[in-house]
Amino acid sequence: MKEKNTSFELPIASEAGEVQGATPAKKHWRSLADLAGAPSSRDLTEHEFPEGADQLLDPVSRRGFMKVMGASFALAGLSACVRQPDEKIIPYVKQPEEIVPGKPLFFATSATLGGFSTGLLVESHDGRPTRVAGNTEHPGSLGGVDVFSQAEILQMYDPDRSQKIIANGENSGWTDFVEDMNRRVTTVPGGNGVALLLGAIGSPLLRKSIETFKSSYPEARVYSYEPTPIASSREIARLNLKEADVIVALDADILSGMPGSVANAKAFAGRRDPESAPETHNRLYVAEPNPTATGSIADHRLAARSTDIYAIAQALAGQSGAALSESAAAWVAAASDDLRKSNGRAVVTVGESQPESVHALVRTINESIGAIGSAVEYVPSTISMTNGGGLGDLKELAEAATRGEITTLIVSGSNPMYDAPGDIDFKSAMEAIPLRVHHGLYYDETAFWSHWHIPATHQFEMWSDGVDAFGTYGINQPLIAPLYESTRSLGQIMSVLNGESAAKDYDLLQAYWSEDLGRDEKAWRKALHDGFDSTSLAAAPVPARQTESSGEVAETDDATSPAPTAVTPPVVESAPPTDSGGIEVNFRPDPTIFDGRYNNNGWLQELPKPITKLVWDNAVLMNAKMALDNELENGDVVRIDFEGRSVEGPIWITPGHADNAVTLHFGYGRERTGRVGEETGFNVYPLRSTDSPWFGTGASMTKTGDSHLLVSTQDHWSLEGRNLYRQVTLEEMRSHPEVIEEMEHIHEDNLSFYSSADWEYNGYAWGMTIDLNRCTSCNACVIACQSENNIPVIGKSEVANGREMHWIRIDRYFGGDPMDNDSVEIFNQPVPCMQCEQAPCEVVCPVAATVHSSEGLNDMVYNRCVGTRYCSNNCPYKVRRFNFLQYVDEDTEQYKLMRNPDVSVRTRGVMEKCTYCVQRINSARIDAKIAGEQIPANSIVTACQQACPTDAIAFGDINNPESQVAQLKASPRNYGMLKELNTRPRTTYLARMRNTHESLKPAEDAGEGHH
Amino acid sequence: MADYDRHEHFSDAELPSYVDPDYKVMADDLTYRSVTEKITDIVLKLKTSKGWWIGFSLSFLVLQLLVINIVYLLIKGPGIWGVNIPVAWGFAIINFVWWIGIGHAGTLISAILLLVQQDWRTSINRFAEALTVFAVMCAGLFPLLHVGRPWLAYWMLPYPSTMGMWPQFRSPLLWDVFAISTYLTVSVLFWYLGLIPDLATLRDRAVEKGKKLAYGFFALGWRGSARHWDRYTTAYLILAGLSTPLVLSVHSIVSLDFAVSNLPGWHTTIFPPYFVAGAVYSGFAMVLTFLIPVRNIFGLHEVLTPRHLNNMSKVMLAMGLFVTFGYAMEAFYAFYSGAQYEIQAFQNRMFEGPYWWSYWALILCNFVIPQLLWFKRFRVSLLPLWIISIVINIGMWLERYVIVITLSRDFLPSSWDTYSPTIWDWGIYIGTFGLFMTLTFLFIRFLPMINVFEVRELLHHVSHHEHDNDGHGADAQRADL
Repeated sequence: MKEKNTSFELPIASEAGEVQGATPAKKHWRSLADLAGAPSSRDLTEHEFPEGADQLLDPVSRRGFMKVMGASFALAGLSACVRQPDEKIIPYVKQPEEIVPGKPLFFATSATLGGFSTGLLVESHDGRPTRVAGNTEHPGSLGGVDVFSQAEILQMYDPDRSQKIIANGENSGWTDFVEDMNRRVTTVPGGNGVALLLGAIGSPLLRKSIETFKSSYPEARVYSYEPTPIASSREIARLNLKEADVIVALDADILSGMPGSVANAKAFAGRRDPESAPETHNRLYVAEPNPTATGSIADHRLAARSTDIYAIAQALAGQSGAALSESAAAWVAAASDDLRKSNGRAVVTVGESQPESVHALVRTINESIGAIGSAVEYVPSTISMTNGGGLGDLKELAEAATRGEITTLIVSGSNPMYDAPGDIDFKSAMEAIPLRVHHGLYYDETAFWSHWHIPATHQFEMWSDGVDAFGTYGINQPLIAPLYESTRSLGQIMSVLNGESAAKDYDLLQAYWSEDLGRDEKAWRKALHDGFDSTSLAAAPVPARQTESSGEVAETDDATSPAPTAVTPPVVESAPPTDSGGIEVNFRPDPTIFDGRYNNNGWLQELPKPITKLVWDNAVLMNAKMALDNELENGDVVRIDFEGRSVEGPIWITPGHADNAVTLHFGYGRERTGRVGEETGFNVYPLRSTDSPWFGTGASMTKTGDSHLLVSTQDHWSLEGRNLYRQVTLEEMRSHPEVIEEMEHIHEDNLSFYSSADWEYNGYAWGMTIDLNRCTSCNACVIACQSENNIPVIGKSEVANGREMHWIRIDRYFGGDPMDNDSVEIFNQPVPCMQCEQAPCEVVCPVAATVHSSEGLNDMVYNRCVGTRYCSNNCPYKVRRFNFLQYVDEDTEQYKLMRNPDVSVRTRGVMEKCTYCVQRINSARIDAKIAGEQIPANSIVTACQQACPTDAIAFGDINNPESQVAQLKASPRNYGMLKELNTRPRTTYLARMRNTHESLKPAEDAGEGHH
Repeated sequence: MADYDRHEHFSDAELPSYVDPDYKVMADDLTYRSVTEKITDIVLKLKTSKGWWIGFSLSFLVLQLLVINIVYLLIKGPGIWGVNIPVAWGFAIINFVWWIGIGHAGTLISAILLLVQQDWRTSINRFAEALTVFAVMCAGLFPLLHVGRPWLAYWMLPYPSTMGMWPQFRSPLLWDVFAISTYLTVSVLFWYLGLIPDLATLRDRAVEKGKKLAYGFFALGWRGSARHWDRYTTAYLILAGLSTPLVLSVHSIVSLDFAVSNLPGWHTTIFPPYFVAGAVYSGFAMVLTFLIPVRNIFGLHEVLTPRHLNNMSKVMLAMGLFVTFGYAMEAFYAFYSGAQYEIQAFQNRMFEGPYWWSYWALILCNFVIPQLLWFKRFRVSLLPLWIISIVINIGMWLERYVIVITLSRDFLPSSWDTYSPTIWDWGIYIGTFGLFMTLTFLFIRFLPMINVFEVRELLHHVSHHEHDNDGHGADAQRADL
């Protein structure tokens, strides 16, 4: 690849020499200031870190560092009194009012993904942001959070982030870039030949500067490209699942994958509460090709190929269409029946991957059942994408470039050299452009093929704004000064292009606030504090806050809510998908690393993907029947041929996947990524085409004979007839509330070799319930725990060895016959430590490193642990995690900043496990003690509980009758896993209630007892 | 000298019909002097043979493998092995239990057979005791090294620490610490005490000054006076008495590591007795594995007669049947219990799990093949017996493998995983053979591998049998197994 780079190398250095004029002798491409030897410039290009620290970051030069260290130690030995460097430490002379040492501060901000922002609350210790949580006040979050927003913190601290401005492969500086842009862009009349390629823009401020750019350079072109776009040509269906008794999701992962999924999941779960609102339990129908988190919690899930969704939508709409299979027909009949009876308290929703024709059909269904105005709103898109947000824009750009119409291309927030569809030869398009500029977080594929690379400021390091999926306007405030001086935001680059080089993002944002939005300083401060502009809420339909609305939706007010400038075009009539035979290929963003932008994020790489539980890889997903028919086993590499293109990848059997169809996830197979993402998975984008961006039929599959090691954290999918996961139908529960308890094997209690009467638990008694009726396996809890508790990432080979470190995991079982899609059921079960009252782990530790607390916690004393691992052997739940090697990276400076100072970092040889976030318990205890009162009920929230978008986790003092957890434990749904072992687990489960339609029988009950 | 007439007392007619007349406790032509010379010359006079050097060098080389493994382990951590969650114990614990089992032959031969007055123990007890000490040393390495932070393993000892912390007395691992340290102490003492008269013999027979000094130092001034012998016999009997319960206790306690846990397949009351039987089984097999080549190399046919082989084979056969009964009962209880997890654990162990082959390999090695020992031919012919003893060693290792690997499938199917050893697992296991063999070679070279004075005493008894009633006479012969 290196050689290729030289072939199109532009003589920028010499051109820059011309610009610099006065300094003809300059040999190296740096800056004028560099020539003068200004220290600031050297710092800029060499020292992102305090002196010496940058060497530590580079694993190659760490040896060099050790050598230097060795030498300096030797010297220190020779001359015993080396003078200390003249560095001063100064305590606060005036203590800032809000900073209490050791106490974190919380800042509201938001993170943007694909043009939609999510309201967040970020924990900050001494100026270091350490953890991302949902913003309870924010209507689009309500305290919940998804995995991507949480992992942004690791993204920011990623040491592999690009840190230097690079011109033609060499270090350069910002001033040179500005000069080059002035020469190549701003002086070009009308901007002829200049093109911008941007991702989806949700920020009104950025949109404004893009408009400015367009008007300053009328002949310049602006393209937008997202590999997983949300169409901006169509109105967005904003769901209000609080109002929905019946939800029909057609190929739509509304609860975990789509924008707004966090608030959707909150609203959805709020209607699955058999304790306090048994009569309003909703019913979810899902038809989808590949099992998703949403599909796993569905009351009735139908495995349907994407191609067949149109026919299903037609049938739901009462139109005659293609014939449905028997099971699909039954599913449609039940769903239609429910929709008809729902009196408008229902919604049909469809995913982005379906063509416009299905969206149009679904809209007519929603109209006909009266859903619009109650459970769904259709509003103009808030994101700005040219050309409707499809993939066509990239094609246009490539064609224009090939025709030689583009002389300068500036790419930001987009990586087309990696993720362009296979029918676009973007590489030759790139080569046809004389000057290419890339702006992004990483020195990625597109950066490699560009002349200029400007490292991007992370969104937590800068000022910006955004609009969430429910139309709430929010301000993103920086949580830390940019870690690397060379980084620039897109706003800064736009300012350069717009000739406003002095402007800062903050000033621009303030100007936008006061001038464009006409708001005052007080409102600004409130918006900053809240993380969103509450006055804009009045204008936007908000599902969670909307308590009594019924169809009355205020008009979007331009003065308060920044609406998109583009007028929504009428829905394009598109042809229904045709089935051209063969295998159906489905393209989807990866559930953890998305479209590839999180490829270098260790948390997300190691996060077991919902349903498949794969880590560090993508795969060709198919069901067991298809694998058997093709004589394939997990890991067998197949070649998928589709429209004349092909990719090769290993297969993974996914029960419940639609038959004769495969699903491929984006984001892997990167050529230029960081150390984390190297050599993971295979690239799916080359198989995709502009015309069939999400799925297509007519593919074929060939076994190559190779195989690839795919690593899953759960090898065994069957419950083996054990009563670990329990579910019954709502009907059964109503008629016979003891049904869950009767699944117990043994009912007697308290027999123990060791006297359990030692513990009376007169004070607090911490306990947890996990509601299986709500868990969607979205993984938010896993990442929250990882972030809160400084859990290391260990890499694919270590996970393959069975040593994953997550303190909470989501077990996934399949029910039914994997060969028969109609019978397949998916069960999700989050498993943290059970904090047993009679804990098997405690009695076997020879050094008393795991001990019982008077409040019922199994405390793990890391300092005392010698690592016999007996506790793990004796733990029936296998929730203990062992540092088999030195997993924690203790050297990388950035990771030091990221860690939660309230939780010990564990070294190798030490056992660890879920603590119920004991640091939070103790913090609350201190506060209560200072206040001289008991810890109030429900005042302690564990990290997993806090993140959970469905409120499936409840935690608190089970001795306090006012606590939510005590009330939930009284529910007849409550059961302890492996209770018959007499471990007396403090973490208990609330059984899943399937709200089935009377015409569809549940395939098989999980965890049926009475053996 | 004057004991050539012994032969007639040892006539066929006096032997029970089931004892082959060839199986005498020692050859006919032995004298006190020839016994002494035969044994002590190996140490004092025999030139160090090329074979010894080759064997020792190889062993020492393998010992270096152990050193490399330990160093790398200390640098990196137990993650170099194949252990994981759920199989948090792997080769280290398998090898630990296996080596501890190996050691049991020595204690049983020395102590129990002494107390029940089996004269045939005399020629083999020294060797067996040495193997015991070395095996316990090898075994002791594993629990120490397998922990995550070996440098803190001393926290398992009850000592008055400044932290005010005591170990946790409910943990079987702590019981292990006591059991094994006691076992090692008593074994070493017993072995050393038994050596003292022989060390004095060596001192007296040594020509070179260095040897005289060295053996003299360790002989602790033994002069062979009647008072010495009186005290010695008492002390030896006391130690034998102390060792006897240890034969039963050590492996019972080791088995509690498993039995006290709540895991299906581990949580069984049958473990202690059947672990003890298994330990004796493997111990005898290991002694035979070493004794047969040593006997041939050093020409010890006269003191290690077919009778020894025959009796040891019989012990092995009995123990083999005992452990097989254990396997049968284990499986029966599991199915009879009606406990779901227990039943599934055994289904996995025997048929459905990924390691079903190891269970059947164990049955083959520990039950099927040793049935050949019913036949006299296999009990006394060297090569088949030697092969069977190795098979039993492998079988007993597999038994521990099968037990430890039960961890791979316990209560929650979500946690089920597999375990596969790495080269470092194998490396440290093979490395302990280096340690074991090196020590054995040094022992053979520098210490009398057969108890000189006891053989002479036996010679006395054999030649004057029936002369003392509490001695080792024909009654004891009949009490042979």
